[in-house]
Amino acid sequence: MKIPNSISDLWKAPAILLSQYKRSDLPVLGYTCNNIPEELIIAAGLQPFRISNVGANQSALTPSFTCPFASATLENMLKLEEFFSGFAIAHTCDPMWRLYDILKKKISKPLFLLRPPHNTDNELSLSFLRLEFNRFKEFLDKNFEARIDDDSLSKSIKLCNETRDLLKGIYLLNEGVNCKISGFDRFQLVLAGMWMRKAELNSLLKALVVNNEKACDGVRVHVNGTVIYDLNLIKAIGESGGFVASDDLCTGSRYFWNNVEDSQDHFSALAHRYLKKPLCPAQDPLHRRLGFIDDMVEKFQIQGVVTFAEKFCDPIFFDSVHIRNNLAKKGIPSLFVDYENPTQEIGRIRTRLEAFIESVGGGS
Amino acid sequence: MYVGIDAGASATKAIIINERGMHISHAIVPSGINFKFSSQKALRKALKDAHLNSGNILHSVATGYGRALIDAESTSSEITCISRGVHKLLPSARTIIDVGGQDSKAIRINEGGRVLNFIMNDKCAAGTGKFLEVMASTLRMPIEELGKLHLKASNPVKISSTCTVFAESEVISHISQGIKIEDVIAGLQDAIAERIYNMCSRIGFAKDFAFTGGVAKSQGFVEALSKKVGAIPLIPEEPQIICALGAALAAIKKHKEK
Ligand SMILES: Nc1ncnc2c1ncn2[C@@H]1O[C@H](COP(=O)(O)OP(=O)(O)OP(=O)(O)O)[C@@H](O)[C@H]1O
Ligand SMILES: [Mg+2]
Repeated sequence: MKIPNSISDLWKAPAILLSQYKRSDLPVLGYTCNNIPEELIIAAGLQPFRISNVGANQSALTPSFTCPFASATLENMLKLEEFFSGFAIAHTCDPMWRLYDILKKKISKPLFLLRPPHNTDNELSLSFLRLEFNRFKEFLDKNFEARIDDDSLSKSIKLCNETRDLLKGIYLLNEGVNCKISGFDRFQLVLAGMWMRKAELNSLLKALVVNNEKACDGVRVHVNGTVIYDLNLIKAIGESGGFVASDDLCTGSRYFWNNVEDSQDHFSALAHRYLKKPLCPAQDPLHRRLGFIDDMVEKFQIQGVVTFAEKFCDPIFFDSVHIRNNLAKKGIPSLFVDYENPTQEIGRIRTRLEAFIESVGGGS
Repeated sequence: MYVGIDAGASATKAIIINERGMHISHAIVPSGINFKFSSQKALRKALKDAHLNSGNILHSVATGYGRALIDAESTSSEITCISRGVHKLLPSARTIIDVGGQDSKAIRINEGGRVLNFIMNDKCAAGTGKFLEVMASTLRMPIEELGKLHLKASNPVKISSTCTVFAESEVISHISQGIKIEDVIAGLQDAIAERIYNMCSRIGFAKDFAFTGGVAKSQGFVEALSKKVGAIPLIPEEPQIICALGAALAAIKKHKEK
């Protein structure tokens, strides 16, 4: 499978698209997290664009114990402000929430803070999220002279569902012991989904040619962990004799795993989708996260799990212990890789990955 | 003949073995800044000692920090190589501690020598040979002396800093207060042993632990570590070349697979 030129390497400099959008007068709403419903942004006539940490250093505005990811994301928001018409942040983990207060002081664009419930397992949370999405709609309507209605929302839901279906279809090509598309290429496609125009991406995805040759080889690895935009980490697994067959990252499968159901009440359907999607480590309950990893391990015939943990990402550091123990019970080996700056530390990260993959593959 | 080259952060080791995995010769040279150069030098030395030439080499495997930068037919990770090397020489070992120049590692292996779990400290010089090198130079003595002097200590000081830079000033202040040098040295090695022990505890100690890497040559350090662990480690005759040995054993396997 060959990745379209417009997608290949986009992860290294997604901001290229921002200047294109600016040239074509397409207003862009920058958002930070999977919990922000792109459906509403599109229905409001804006282009959603997920802001990454790529290309930014840590911001001097955050305290030293902030995760480098949140800090660099802030830096990018400030650096790229001119390209955005507004921003939406979700309070998942606390650093993301606190970016809101800093941004309020530092930028002049409309800014929204979404509060997805941390407990995702009850009716109250569902009603709460539904109201939050309504509040987000009002924010979009008010600030961007939009009029989100049933019709526009129904259309954008269909569009996003189609993207998700296509991405999931490609993902499932690697089910069982198959490897039709490399982990690296697959991540490139998923990330493109967060940056490109959905209609354009959908036609590119539909045109992808899957041939029957084996695209990759090696020990089948599931990747878990912090937000990963730096695909050098995924590449390093491939270069160490592994094959990233599945993941539960928010820049991976969590982005597209489930769809918004057809319903009269779009807001309830949206709330349901966003609450029931595979969980972020900052959300509850843990057993759903562990269960999702178990399912992936089985579905994709995983031999080993790698957890990438960015320094100071408390949720993943706490999670990793449960994940490791849970996998050990089932005889699945796992590796915990912590880092602060993957680009600088890729050498030592690779040493660990190689050792792990060799040991899982019986290289001794 | 089969060759294993371990391009470590501080020393490059080359070993030559025969098809049964028996040691023929080896060489240890400083890595310097050019792994290609140091590996050629080490190999040349080992070949010369064995009265062989490069034409006798059937397969070579590189490992260590600089493995990708040197000429060898294939590469293998340090963790796997150390495990393989230890398993060959000390088949009863189930836990391995390797302390090298730049990092320290703890590995659990099974009865077949297969890696079950491992952990590395590779972010900080404290807890590695580098720490000892820095201290030896602060104290103006060869590194070999540290291990010997340690054994003479009667009342080791407590070094509270786990950071190389801070510990250095702590050492200087102890010395200037007139504390005996051997007590300072013992305190230093105790501090590193403690760090390594803590790291290793995270993967758990299985019975029969082996100790490898250049730092295992320091008697004083071995004593400090034994005290912490509560057991005496198994140490191969030349602990610094075990990783290279594992690479050479991999070379035999790779050659057979061809
Ligand atoms: N006789 C000795 N006494 C004490 N320490 C010693 C002795 N000989 C060597 N060392 C220590 O061994 C270290 C080098 O060990 P080794 O060759 O195992 O490291 P390396 O493989 O180059 O490093 P790494 O594995 O971290 O990449 C040096 O830092 C030195 O401090
Ligand atoms: Mg070494």
